[in-house]
Amino acid sequence: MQNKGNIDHTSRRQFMVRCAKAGFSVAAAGAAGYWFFDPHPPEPDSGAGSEVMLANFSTAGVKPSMSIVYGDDRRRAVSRALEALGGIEKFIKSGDRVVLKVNAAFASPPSLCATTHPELVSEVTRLCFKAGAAKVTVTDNPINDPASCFALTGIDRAARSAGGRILLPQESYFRSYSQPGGRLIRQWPVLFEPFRDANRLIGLAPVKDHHRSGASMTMKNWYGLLGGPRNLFHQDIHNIIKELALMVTPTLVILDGIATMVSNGPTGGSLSDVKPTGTMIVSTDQVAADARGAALLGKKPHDLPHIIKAAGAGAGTADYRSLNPIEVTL
Amino acid sequence: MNSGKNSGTPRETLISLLILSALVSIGAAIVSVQFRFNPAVIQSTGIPVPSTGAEEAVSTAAAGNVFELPPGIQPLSPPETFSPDRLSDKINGKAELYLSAGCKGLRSQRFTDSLAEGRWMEIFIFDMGTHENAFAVYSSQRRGDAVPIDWTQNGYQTQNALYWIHGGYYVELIASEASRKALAAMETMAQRFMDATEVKTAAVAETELFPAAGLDRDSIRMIPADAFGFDKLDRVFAAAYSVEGIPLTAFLSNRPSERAAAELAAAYRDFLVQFGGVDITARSGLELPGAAVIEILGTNEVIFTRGNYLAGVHEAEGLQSAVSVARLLYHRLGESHSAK
Repeated sequence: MQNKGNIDHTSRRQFMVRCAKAGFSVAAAGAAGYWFFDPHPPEPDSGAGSEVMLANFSTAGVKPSMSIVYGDDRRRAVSRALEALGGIEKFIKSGDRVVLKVNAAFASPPSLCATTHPELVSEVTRLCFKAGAAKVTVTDNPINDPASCFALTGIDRAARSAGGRILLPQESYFRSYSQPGGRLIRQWPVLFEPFRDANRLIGLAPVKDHHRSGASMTMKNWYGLLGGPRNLFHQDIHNIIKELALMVTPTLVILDGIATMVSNGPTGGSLSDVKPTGTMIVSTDQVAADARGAALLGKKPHDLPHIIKAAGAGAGTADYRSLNPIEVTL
Repeated sequence: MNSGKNSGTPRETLISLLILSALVSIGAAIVSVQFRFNPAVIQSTGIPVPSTGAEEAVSTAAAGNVFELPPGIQPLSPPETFSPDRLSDKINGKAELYLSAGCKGLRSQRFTDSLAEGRWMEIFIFDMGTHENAFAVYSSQRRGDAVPIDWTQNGYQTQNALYWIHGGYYVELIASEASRKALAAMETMAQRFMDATEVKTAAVAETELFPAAGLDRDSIRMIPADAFGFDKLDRVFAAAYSVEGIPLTAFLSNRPSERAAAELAAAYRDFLVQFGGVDITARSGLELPGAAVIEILGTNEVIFTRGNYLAGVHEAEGLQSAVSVARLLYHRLGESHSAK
């Protein structure tokens, strides 16, 4: 049966024209797809344009040195340790802009020693200003809930009470960084904003047991400068710590072993994870500081591969005794 | 008449326009989405995820509290949820411990105690999937000053914290300071959590298989992977013993079959020999069928199987103490097997 009212009389010519149009459309779509096709995967976007370099924050003309103070008073210990190295004025000059890189990784009370102790933060901030610093910025990137981490560790209040300013991480504060010769830190987002106008950097770290690396001290403390999915680096923890040690050349590192988290690190949680160890270490050499700090965890430098790797890469010396450390008992 | 152009009916035109609009919308959506890469996909390719971490500072916060709070306890933060791939955002380098034991996620929340100004506490509820997995992370972190708590089979308190297992959950409740009041408040909270969280009653049967003589019961732990440095040795229960003052570790692991247990025993023996161990079975005086005694780095290892169990003694400083505990363990496993 025919539907007379709805017959489409298409001629051969019309059919050919329509086929040609359809073919052209398909070809055009294919060509457009080919034009857009990029065989290369997307480059990781650090979120902030071109790459940056981190400055060398060491003090010109100052030989590698170390002081170790034994006692249980954090403020006095760090003050004496700095005096033993010639005074903080040897490292901080009038008008300097200082960054204090603390460990504020967890919203944890100071008593658990999972983070930099607020007494240490306030004392070092105070000493920097006393030496003439124009600005002291206290920072870290805890990833999860930075404001709570800084508040509940007591670091926020400690820094502000001494005149320092807290810089919490924001997305715009990160810049892409590649460690020259590095294998892991390649085009990786690094917390750069605090260093934009800084000319001095002091690392303030507690001594902690660490489930993956065996220890968390001054070199591991730079881990907090990394952004992105940095947990990936836990699979190669010793090499990432080595690269961090090469990435950062600090003015000083201060390793707080007045009390040490000897077990269940890096989070701890129980007061029983913490033991009094009565030792404050200040050094221009972060590798040496960690080599000395290892003993507070009952370890030797060779028990911690990242120390040996960092020393082998030229970030410092694992033979801390070669620095002839000045030892003082309070 | 055929004009050469078939303009169609208004209805056909409308349908055509709708189809074209849908196609344009789909195209626009594809263009938009293709510039927002899925981090999971990129991560699987090994390419760093385009993220600074800072924008992730606001983690997954659920509505309400993790359980009904007792009087005097106020939330200090909203509850947070962390999936396995985000676990390290909360606990950093500790995440591997939980992930290797099969962690399925973490919920946490901080609270203040209105009875004590400045005092706060935080609960960590790790969903470990099974009671056995929960026991693994619980037992591997047991504190030296642990005091057993009486309201659960596997739990203890320290000066400022409670740690316990509830079904497949491993829970930590940590106070910012040590005090009896804080512990009392935390006990109340623990009960609230347990009341609100229904679980299947479970027990870890392996903990009852260790012979009692010389056993330090609090030392029993489950090692989820890489036990004693051997990557094939997983899900191993280990316990500390003291035999006439000589310390050693007894261990056992339930394998899928007798054959699997025997193969793993042979592989572990070979592993020890490969790293300098000497097979001294013949002169050890141990007469258990198929058992091997290896002397390595001044200590003794005993390896044997009983049914589906691979078992033995690890790092025994004295050969006789190793042999005596191995015999006891062998017979204990036999009794258990007979009982079944």
